Amino acid sequence: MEILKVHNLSKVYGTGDTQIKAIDGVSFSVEKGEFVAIVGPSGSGKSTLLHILGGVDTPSSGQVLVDGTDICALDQTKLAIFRRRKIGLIYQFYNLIPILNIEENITLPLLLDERSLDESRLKEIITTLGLADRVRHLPNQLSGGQQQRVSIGRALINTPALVLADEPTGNLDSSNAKEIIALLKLSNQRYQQTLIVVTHDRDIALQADRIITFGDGRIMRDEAVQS
Amino acid sequence: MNILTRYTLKYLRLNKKRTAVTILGVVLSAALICGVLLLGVSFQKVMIDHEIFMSGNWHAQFHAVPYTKANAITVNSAVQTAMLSASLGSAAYGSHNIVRPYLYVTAYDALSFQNQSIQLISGRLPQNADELLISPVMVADSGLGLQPGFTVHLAFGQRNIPNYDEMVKAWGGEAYVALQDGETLIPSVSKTYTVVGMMAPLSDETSMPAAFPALTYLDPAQLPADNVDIAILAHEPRSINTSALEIAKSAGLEVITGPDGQPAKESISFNERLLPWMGGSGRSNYVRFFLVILATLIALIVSGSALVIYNAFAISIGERKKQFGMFASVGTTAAQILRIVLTEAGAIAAIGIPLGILGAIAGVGILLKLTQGIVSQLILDAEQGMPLVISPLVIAVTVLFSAATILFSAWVPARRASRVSPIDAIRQSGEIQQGTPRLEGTRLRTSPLIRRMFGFEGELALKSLKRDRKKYLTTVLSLMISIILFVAFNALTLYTNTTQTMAVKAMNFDLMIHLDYRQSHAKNFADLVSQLSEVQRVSYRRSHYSLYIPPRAVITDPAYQALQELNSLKLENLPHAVEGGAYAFVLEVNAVGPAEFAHYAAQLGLDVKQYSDPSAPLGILVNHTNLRQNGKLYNFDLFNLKPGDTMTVSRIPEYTALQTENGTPANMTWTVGAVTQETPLGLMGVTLVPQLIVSDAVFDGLSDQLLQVGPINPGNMMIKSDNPDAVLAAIERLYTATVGGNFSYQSMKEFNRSKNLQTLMINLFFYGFLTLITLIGVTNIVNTLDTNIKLRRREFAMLRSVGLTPGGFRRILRYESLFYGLTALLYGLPLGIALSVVIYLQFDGVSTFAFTLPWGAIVGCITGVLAIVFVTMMISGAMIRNDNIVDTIKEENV
Repeated sequence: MEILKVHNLSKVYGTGDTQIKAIDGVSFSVEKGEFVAIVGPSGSGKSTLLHILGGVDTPSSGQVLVDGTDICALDQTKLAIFRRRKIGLIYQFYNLIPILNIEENITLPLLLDERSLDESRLKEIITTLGLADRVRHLPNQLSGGQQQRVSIGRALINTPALVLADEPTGNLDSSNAKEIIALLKLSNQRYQQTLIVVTHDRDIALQADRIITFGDGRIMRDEAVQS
Repeated sequence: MNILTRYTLKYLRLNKKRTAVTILGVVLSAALICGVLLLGVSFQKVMIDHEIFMSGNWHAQFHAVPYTKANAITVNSAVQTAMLSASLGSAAYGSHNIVRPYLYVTAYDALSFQNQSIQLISGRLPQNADELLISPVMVADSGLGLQPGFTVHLAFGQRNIPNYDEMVKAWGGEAYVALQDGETLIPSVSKTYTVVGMMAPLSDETSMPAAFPALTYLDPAQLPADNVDIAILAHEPRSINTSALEIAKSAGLEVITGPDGQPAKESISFNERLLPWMGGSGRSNYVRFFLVILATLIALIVSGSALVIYNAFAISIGERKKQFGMFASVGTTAAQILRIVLTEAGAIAAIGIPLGILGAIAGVGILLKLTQGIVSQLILDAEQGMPLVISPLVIAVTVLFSAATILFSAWVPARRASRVSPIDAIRQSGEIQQGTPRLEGTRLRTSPLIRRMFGFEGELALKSLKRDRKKYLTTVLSLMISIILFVAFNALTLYTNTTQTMAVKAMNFDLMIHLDYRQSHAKNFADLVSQLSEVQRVSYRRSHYSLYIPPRAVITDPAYQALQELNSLKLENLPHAVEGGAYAFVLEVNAVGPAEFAHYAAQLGLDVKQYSDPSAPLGILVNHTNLRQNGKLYNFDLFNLKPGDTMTVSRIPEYTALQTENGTPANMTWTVGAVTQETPLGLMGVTLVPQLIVSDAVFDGLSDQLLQVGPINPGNMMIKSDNPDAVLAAIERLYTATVGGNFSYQSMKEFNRSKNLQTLMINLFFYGFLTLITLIGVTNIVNTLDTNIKLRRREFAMLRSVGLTPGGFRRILRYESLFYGLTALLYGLPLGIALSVVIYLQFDGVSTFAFTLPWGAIVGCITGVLAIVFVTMMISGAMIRNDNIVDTIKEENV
């Protein structure tokens, strides 16, 4: 089943001579439960692509269908609701809300949606992430690795259609980085969670089912990983 | 230029908006501080001028100083100027007016003429002891047609007033005692004077019922009396109350001490009107009340201003913490960082303070110009309105205070900023980490109720308020100050207006004529006045006082209870406890003139004839008390008396009857004909002195008996008319035709006009200040809230990236505004109301209205506060709502 379909997507910055094509007519699709790594040099447009997929940035042209919804056609409010229900975003710099404690940060999409909490799912996620004794802490009382685990929890809590991670280990040391990737992989395997990770790290990319290599706003290569 | 200075100036230039807001804050604060002080100084100046005009330029006066000791006072080092004067006493001068036959002559030396409040109308001041200065009113009254150059023969002597010493003491001087029946002057010295000039009537002319004041020259070489009065101007008027005593002591004067422990008026008197305005420890409650209010006002304004400056700097520096971290990481020392901030403070102060002072001078100048007309009508001698006094002291105080506040405001956050380790400062993920103690989760915990009531957005809003307590408090505090001032000012205005309305209502007459002369003459005159066509109603009120000690059962329970409560207060006119649980009341028996009594009786449905028989005296009892004391409102009937009951009164202990019958106790019995709360024209209702209204037939028929029991006060005439000016003109004509001379009067129309002017002035100042204070509050709020939201840009972008809708964003802002507003109101309103209570208590004993609040102002205040906060949040919010999520999140990441 196709969970994501990208059709002829472009993102252009500026006009005329100064025009830069960050994404240049990209098309691809992702099956449910797939773990996709997007790699490529700096400035190749991979982060921009991820942000468009996550509905926090808008394309210049083209279509993005997530779970059958054309997200480019949604207005601000609908897009926001779409984000909290269908997308889990993980950033390089965690971006937690400093005044909310760990549990509140994780359940943030649910809280915004005014949906009741599935306690057993929250418990399971918190235990899996190893944050059981930290739920009442504030983000600044946690280490970088722990904070990133919180943001993974926040991305997963809603069982979104897509979890998108932008250099999730970029700010972490190697042991913390391994741990984070292991957790992402676990979610992919245990919950059939569709996962798209933008990374520089070849080792991380090799954990995925599929690697899409980006260059100058275009897909240079799209290959399955032999395991 | 040093790189740090260059950086600072560049930063200020590049962040135009922030710099402008900070400078605006400084300008407003400096302007407000300077403005309040300028107004204060200008007001002080006009009041000092006014009081000097009214009561003369002197601080203290020593009375009856033997001339041998006068020199010791004159040369005392604490004395700047000493002015000698001497009373020469009453003198007959051949006036045609038999009811005001005397001149009361005082001799002034040159300095007295210079400093006392004397306005020369024509001619010149007396220059030797044979010359006289008189008033044109006296000239008209006497019918002598005196003019400068004329001579007048004066026969000085003592008036043979019965109980001379008591009477003179009670009235404060022989000149103030009214002409008594059959009084004569026993001449001792005669002297011929030359009239050299006319002066405007002296302020005490109307309080001399039997005489006109006249002035001559006091020549120290030929002293007219053994004792002189010495008025002085002290070098230090502030401490005159104590220094006057020392001066007296060093001159070897005997100082009589009054019952309050202060020197008695016969020994040393003080210029009670002038001194309070010069900062002296005057005894005037009114001025003290005014000064307390002014001081509170200044304190609030100054603290509000300090808050704005402090806030502006705290924000500006908090925002740049990261930059300071960066500076520190490349080797900038803490001292250097401090210098950056102080340079910034210096630059802002250099622009802001002078602008503020100029603004204040311009603003106050305009205000004074605008109020010129009002002031000159209110204070007759201040034709130019209030002078703008640009005192260097005021400017120095403003500069020093503003600079100190700026320095402090800049230094505190800068020191905090320089203490943070560079990497912490660089890494800060928002201002949340700026406090040294790490944020505890518990402090941000909110009640689950909040989420249920306001939703998650409400909870989030509350948490973001709680995160930086200091900033939150500063914002709330500045809002609070505006709220408190607004409510308190409105309360003060409300109470003043209520008091005035009540007073005006109680004074149900349009014109009051003072008839200080002999009663027989006044009574006839009253009859004539009642026949004038312009007069609708006239009452000629005479009052008689006697002692009424009712049995306990006659006193109502609420009255008895109130008396017990009030008796500890030592109030004047308070019925005092006598043996057997009873109280001794003073009963005031009033006659109001036949016409008014008939009118009054008809109003109550009573038959006048029943009230006209002196052998069976019936009276109408008014004994409903309306009284406010210690903030408590009393409202009760004094007695359980019904029509047909009798009241037996006895002689007032201190009263010495004219024809004493060898100490036999004199009694009289009245019968109550009716009990009512209504009062006739000219009577203002009862406090704790019950009133009995009787007909003139009864009053006159019993006058001999009345005089055995207590004194009869010659009364005033109260007139009700649609056209008081015409009545006044008619009475003047009538008076000239019948008695001759002049009389004094009080017109409610004039009284109301001056009251209205006063109210207008007070309101003008109040609302002027209120506007400025609110402006300061609003600047502060706008500054804080705006920065607050901008600092949280990234956070909002983050929330949006996980699905916060635009509606949700607006909701968060709305709740934040609501919480800000509500907290400020929660603390501000009760404090404002508390201040209102304090103000209300100041009206104690002055007015008898129940405690009330300026509800309109309170509602307006609530709406205003919420609206200001809300609008600010929404405008700031709109600016960041359309931020690109990704760009904003990426921003400022290292």
